[in-house]
This record gives sequence, C-alpha cells and structure tokens, in this order.
Amino acid sequence: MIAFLSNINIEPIKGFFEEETYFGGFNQYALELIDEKSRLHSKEITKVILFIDGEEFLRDLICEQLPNENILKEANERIIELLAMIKQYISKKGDVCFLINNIVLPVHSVTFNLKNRAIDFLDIEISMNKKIKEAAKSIHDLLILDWEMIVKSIGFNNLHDDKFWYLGRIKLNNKAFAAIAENYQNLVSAYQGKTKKVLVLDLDNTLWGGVIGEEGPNGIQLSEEGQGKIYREFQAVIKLLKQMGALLCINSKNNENDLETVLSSHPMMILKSDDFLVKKINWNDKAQNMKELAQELNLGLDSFVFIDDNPVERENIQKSLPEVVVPEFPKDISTLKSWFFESVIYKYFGKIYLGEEDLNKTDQYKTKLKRDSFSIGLTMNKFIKSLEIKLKIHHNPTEYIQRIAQLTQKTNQFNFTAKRYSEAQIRKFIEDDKVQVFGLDYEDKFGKEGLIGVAILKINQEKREAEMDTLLLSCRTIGKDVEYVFLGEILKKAQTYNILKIKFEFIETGKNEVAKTFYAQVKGKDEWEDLESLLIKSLEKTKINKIDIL
Amino acid sequence: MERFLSAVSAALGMDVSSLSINLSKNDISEWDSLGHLKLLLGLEEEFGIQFSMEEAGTLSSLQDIFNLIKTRTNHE
Repeated sequence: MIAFLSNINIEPIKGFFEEETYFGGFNQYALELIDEKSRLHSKEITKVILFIDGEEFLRDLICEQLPNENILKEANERIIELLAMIKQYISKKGDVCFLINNIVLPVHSVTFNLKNRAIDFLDIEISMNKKIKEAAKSIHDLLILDWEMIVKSIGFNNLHDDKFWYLGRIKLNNKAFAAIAENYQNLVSAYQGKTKKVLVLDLDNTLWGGVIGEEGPNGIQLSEEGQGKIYREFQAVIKLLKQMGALLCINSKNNENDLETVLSSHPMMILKSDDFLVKKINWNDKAQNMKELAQELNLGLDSFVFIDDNPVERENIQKSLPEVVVPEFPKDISTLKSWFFESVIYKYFGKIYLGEEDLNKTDQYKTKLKRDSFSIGLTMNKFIKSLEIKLKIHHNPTEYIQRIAQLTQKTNQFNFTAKRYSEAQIRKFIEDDKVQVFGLDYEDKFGKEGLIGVAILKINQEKREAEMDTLLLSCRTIGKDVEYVFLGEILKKAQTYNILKIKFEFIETGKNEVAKTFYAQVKGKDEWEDLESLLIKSLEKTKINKIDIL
Repeated sequence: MERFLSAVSAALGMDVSSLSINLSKNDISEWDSLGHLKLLLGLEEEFGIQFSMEEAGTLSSLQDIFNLIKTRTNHE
C-alpha cells in the first residue's frame, strides 16, 4: 500500500495509481512520521510519497518578507529537520521505500528583475534541494521524486491551478498528478532493479536516415545538417546510455559488407562497431535473431528493448516474443530524441546507482562471449582447468553491502529463493551474529568479474543447525563448477560454527530453472541434511578441476 | 453526451453505467466535496474549458454542467 503525505491536498492523485492508497491527514506528515502508532508505521505500508509544496512549506517566511539570508537559513533548518524525521522513520519502520520530491518555489516574485539582491528563490531552492540530495545519497531507501524536472519540462503554470487551491486546497492539476505518477513508476522500477539491460537497434531509418542497400554508405542521412542531425544526436544519446551500463546490440536486415564501412569508418557515426556487443546483421527473421541474442548473452528476453522504425518488424517481435519491450517509433522523426528519453530511457533504463560495474559492462560481456567460444572443442574438465579460475570468499563484507543487495534484486536464474533484499536488510544480516553473509569473487584468465555470488546462512548454534536463506550466482559464471566450489566453501565455514545439519530453502519462481537443477543434484532425501556428507559431495566435484581459492 | 458521462465517471472513479444525465450532487455518493473538485478538474481537462470560481461553487447537477460545457465548446 502506498501512503501519501503532503502539505497540500493531493487526494485526486488516487485515480492515477492502481495500488491501494492511504492519505495522511492534511499537513499532518511530521506527526505521522514521528508517531509510531500512526498508520504510516503499520506493516501494510510499503511505499511512502511525501509531496512538499515549496510555497506552503515556507509560507510564513516568503510571503511576508523579501528573500534574505535568514529565510535561507530557516529554510535549510526546516528541511534538515524533516529529513531527520524521515531517516528515523525509515530505519524504525524498515522495509519501506520513501519518496520525497525536490522543492520548487513559486515562479512569481516581486524581486523579479533585481540585480542587486544577494538571495532569491532560486538560491533557497538550490540549497534545500542539495540537502535532500545528500540525504538520499546516504539513505538507500530514500528516493527523490524529480518534481523540479517535471516543472522544467512541462512548466509551472501548466501544472498548477489557483482556482482549485482556493476551492479546496488542491494546487496541482491532473497533468501534474499524471506526471508524478509516471515519475513514481519509473523511479520504483529502477529502485527494484526491474529495468532492462539490452537495447537492440535496427539500422536503416533508425540509426540513420535512408536505406544503405539503396543509397550506399555515402548516401545515408547522418550529418551535422538537416535531417541527418536528428540521427546524429540520437546516436549521441544512445552512446551516453551505453556509458550508463546499457548493452547495445544490432538486429538488422542488411548485407554485412555494406555495413562494415559505415560502422567502422563513416565520419558522422557516433556509435562505432566496438560499441555493439553482438551484431545480428543478416536476412533472417528478426525474432529468431532476438532469441539467439538472448541465448548468447544468457539473459532473459524480458531484459531486452527493441527499437525499429518498421511497424511490421515491431509487430513480428511483439507477437512472437511478448516478453521483449517494443516501443512505438515516433511518426514525426524530429521528435526522435525527446521520444527516446520519455518513452524509452525514463521508462526502461532508469538507475538509482551507477557503479564501476556499469561503466565497462559491454567489455565484461565481451569477455564472457570470448570465454564461451573458447569452451567449444574442449572437454569440460580441460576447459575449466584452462580458465585458471580464481575464487575468493568474502565473509560478512561490509564493503560489498550495496553490491550484495543489488545481486539479490537482480539475479533470477541461479537463485534459490529470489528473496529481494535492500541494503539496510543486508547490513542488518551482517551485524546479526545468527546470520552469516558470504560473497563470492570471481576471476579467470579472461578478466575479473568481481562479486558475483551471495549466500546468506541462518545459524542456530544451540541446535547446531543452519538454514540457507539465499544462494545465488550471477549467470555469467554458471556451468564451470563454480557453484560446487562456492557451496563447499560455505559448508566449510558453517563447520566452524559447529553446524551438523543444513536445510536449503528453495522457492520456485518460474525463472530459476538453473538453480533448480543444481538443487536437485545436491539435495538429499531428507529436509535436514548431514553437512559432512554434503560437503564431501561438493568437494568431489572440485577435486577434479583446479579452481584456486584465494 | 457519452463523452461527458464517461469523463464524469472517470473523474469520480465510478462505473459509467450507473450514471445518467438527470442525476445531481445528492444522488451520487462519490460526489462529495473532494469529488466535486475532482469532477471539475477532470472536466476542465477533458473539454479544455475553465469554470469560474462562482460556477464551481454553484454547479450541482450533471445537466447544468453539461449545458455549461455545451455553450463553452459549441459542439456535441
């Protein structure tokens, strides 16, 4: 259930949400945040949206005096106080995603043209929003609803309605409510790690104007002039998206030879051959190409977004592979860039953290593809040996909390329970004596993968029993017996706690077929298994192949 | 008329089949003081018109609102 809190009446927003809603008392948010008996603290509330109208928040200050140093100071104090309340609320409540908007002050001010004023509304806004940003950076479950951006893109006057303010304390109109609801959806899907991984692109009339097979490499529209500039700017945005960790692939019906010239040496191409992870350039059915892409990258089809100007191709993909996201393509090509932001990036490629991982995502996957093709022709054992795998187990690593939470959020295929944990929850586990958190670090001769495995073990020392709450591995490393080594190492650690029996929790999600197969192999007849024999089983596997534990 | 009633039902969050043009504020439980604002907000957006403060205070039957929108938009 979503709770809405505000210092203005925002109840009409209810119609824009499908989830159940609760509206806190008008201007009562501070009280409800503090009062642990308030509904806001009840279990059913999983998300909170606090909408602060800047003018009302500072009404007593800004409506009687001209902007000045004292107002700035007082405004800062107020927002700091509010953020402290929110922080306390989140940590007490736990298991809640809290959204607060950034502050926008009224557009109208009598100081509108003054050149010699030290402080104006903008200074106050910037200063308050900086505090909000800092708080969100340090509190994982606090997100910023970008009201400032909404106001910039749609316009203050288009979002506010004075009449309804005077009639019933409603300041915002339906356009504003719709924009907030959309922003909320995008933000929460980024928070939950539900965003997409791969952007698959068509070429002709998508990355440039015209058809290369007809016009030739020099005839396509891609330049700094006229229509060609549209495509060039579009490519620039795609390149930026790649830097945010999106993987780029091509799925296009062309002759490969025509294309190499363009991809490698057309002077106006911003995207180069290297930017693409896999290129499917052929005359096959695009749905077939798409399936192959998913297989080669070992990613679910629901990680893909497909962009093509041709409605027939879009329909084909959408019909045969409904999991793939296939956005409409703009009819008016001049809107290409803004369409791409609003209908593709914001919806499907949102992120709330950018890690080092993301920066060289394409390279990581290229390494994986190389490794996969290297494996052809070798027997399994030889292959694994030749990889020179080095593993490292991290026990309760506080420095990897963010990464561990991220893995629990994102991993689907090799995941025993698919339990999704926030950073705060992982931190709690690490601090708890009865819970042991393990991370697995992977490296081989092709490169470092970083932390790719997580196990969470709940220990009952009196009974000498342990329960495996979470066991997951990123699918990039599966199939090399790494899973057995990892399990074996955890069991060894469990022995140091004098554990005799162990139980695996397993939850079928429809996506964790890979984990199920492994589970079936290690699982014995009984619910509680003898740790020693299980350890021997997993060690047998690892004796064959040389895998180093650092 | 159809467009009007469906806009009303959307704004008040109720089924269009339970609405007819001869209903007024007292007949519709969803049409309370907040519902009134939601209704006017929704209709302003749907038909691209503006109600004055005074109209917003006095309008209380669907027929009256419909007539007003009709004169404002000169169609339907």
